[in-house]
Amino acid sequence: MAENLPEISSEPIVAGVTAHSNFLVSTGATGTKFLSELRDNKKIMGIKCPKCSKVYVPPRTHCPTCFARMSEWVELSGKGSLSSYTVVRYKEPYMPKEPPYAYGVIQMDGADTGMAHILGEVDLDKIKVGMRLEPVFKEQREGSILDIDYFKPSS
Amino acid sequence: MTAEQKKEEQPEFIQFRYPREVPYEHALGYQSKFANALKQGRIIATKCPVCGRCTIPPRIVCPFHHVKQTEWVDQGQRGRLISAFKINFPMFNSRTGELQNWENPIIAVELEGGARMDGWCAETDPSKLKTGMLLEAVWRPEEERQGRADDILHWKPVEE
Repeated sequence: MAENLPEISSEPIVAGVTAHSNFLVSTGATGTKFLSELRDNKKIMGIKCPKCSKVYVPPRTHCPTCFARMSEWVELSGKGSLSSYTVVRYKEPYMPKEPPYAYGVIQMDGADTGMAHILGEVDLDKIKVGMRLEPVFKEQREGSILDIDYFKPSS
Repeated sequence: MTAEQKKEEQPEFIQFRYPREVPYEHALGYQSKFANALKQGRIIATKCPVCGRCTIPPRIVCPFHHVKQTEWVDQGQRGRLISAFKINFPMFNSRTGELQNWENPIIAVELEGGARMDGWCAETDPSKLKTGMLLEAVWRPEEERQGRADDILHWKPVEE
């Protein structure tokens, strides 16, 4: 085997690495119905549990409490009130908006769960839990949760 | 019914791509010497002072005797095939984020210096692989080496 080989450096190495991923996310039958209604009809749909009558938005196939299969769709007005929020003030890759902007949980009228989305047309220092909100849809919609551009305060 | 008609009748099914890139810095620490050796086209391993077992990737402490491994041993350019498997379906490549077909079998090699490591085999036909066959490292051109395990492109079988 190799003898008298040159000295190998022990100099520490810090390697710059980039991990890539390109997942294909399948929204399933329930997710497709929700997103296609957003895209085609600007409607926010909830789904109702046949056992406990809770209405979930965004929808899911099974009620997490009763484990019942849900199939009854409920059309919501999209209006609701703010139940929680945070203001994003720093920039990270893949953010849907330029900071600063606010993220909120919107408790929609007729639904039993909150839905997280972006708040817009609002003074970030004047956001109040309980304020009334309504959705603003994008002109160009592609079947994504971001087809709702943001929720704005409603009069 | 034609295939086209059948396609039209299928319900819509929304899917979307979720491309992400995560840059990070990986401090190699004690393994830096191993990486520096790869850049030179050499494979080195740490050796346990008690049992003489050589480990790749190198480790500071022998996992069996819990003693510090300070000696580095050159492992040569050749080794013998321990095991091999071939992936027969497209699999995710973390360097590109895409699904990819992997023609080269993944192998474990026992080097002349006694350490074992894994790599790719140049022989793509698994029926031509035999346990114990002699293999030789094929390296990337020196200017392209980055001190990574894939500086060794693959292992090619050698006639004995």
